[in-house]
Amino acid sequence: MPGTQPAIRWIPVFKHLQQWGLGLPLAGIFLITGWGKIGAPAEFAAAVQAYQLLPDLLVAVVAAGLPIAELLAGGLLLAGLLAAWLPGLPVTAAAMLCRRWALAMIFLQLVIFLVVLVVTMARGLEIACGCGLLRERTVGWGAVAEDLVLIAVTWLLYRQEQQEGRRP
Amino acid sequence: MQARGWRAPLKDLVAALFLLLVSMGVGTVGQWPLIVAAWRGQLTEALAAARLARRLQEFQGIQLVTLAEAYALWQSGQVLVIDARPAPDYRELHIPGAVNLPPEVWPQLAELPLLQTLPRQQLLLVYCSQEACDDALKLGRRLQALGFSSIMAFTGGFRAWDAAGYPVDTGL
Repeated sequence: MPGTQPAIRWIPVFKHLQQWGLGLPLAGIFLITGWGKIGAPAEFAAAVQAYQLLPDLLVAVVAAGLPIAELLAGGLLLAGLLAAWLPGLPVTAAAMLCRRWALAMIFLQLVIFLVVLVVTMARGLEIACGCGLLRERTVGWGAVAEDLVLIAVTWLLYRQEQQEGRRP
Repeated sequence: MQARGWRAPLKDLVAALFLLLVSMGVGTVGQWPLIVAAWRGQLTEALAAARLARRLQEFQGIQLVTLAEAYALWQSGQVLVIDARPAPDYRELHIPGAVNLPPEVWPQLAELPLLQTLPRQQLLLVYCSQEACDDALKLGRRLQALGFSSIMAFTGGFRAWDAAGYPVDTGL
């Protein structure tokens, strides 16, 4: 069936578009937010403390570690995407593992943050979300919607990695 | 076959958890003074000191005032109080007599008739929502750039004013 060939060829193109179009911004978001928080540890610790969910020692540990986790996740995802793009390198399996671990890390962080947001809203606290993006926002439905979109993107990318991993 | 379907994601989640824990460990070493302060029960004080040091460095020339000083200045009537919060917050409640300059008007500050006619020596007292917000200081820096020389920032913000039971006003 020569007529079906062109349609089949579009599948990898769409896959790469999805991987790059969604994966690169996601990696960028985590790299930017992580870098911003590392540059202002006291401000980020104050933002974590404002949630009133953790004892001070854990506030300090989370404030110190979370930016590293964000940088690591963003960095791994970016490295995994770039390695897949570089031609002739025997790193396909490692790149895929990088992407999967990065996406799993991002997924975990986003889900935990979603729970924190919902609990904070239920408690009626009006505090800055400490999300670390370019514009500061208060905890509310906007931050929840943003988090849900990122979770959906992460899930989509992870499913794609899974399907690719199953392919012989 | 079914078991294989969930085993790989589970392995990835375990790896992600491990990497998160490693990140916490690395961060703990990197921010050791913060951890020590928290261990000693002095995290709040350490964060306040760090914030003050950063503000003094970043917003030089803007005087930081306490709640009592802000109240005395407001009572004197010689200061123009400026509310740097978003307009809806200002409309809800604000310090009586305060003028609202929300962040969306900051790029066009020089074109505002109020600021064009105001003497550059006028005492200005800027505030935002609460202690952690920097908007009052950011606005103060923009006002400095316009030539105003006597700018003070009440860093406790409207929350501290309201909590102290000082007078408030509503509407425009």
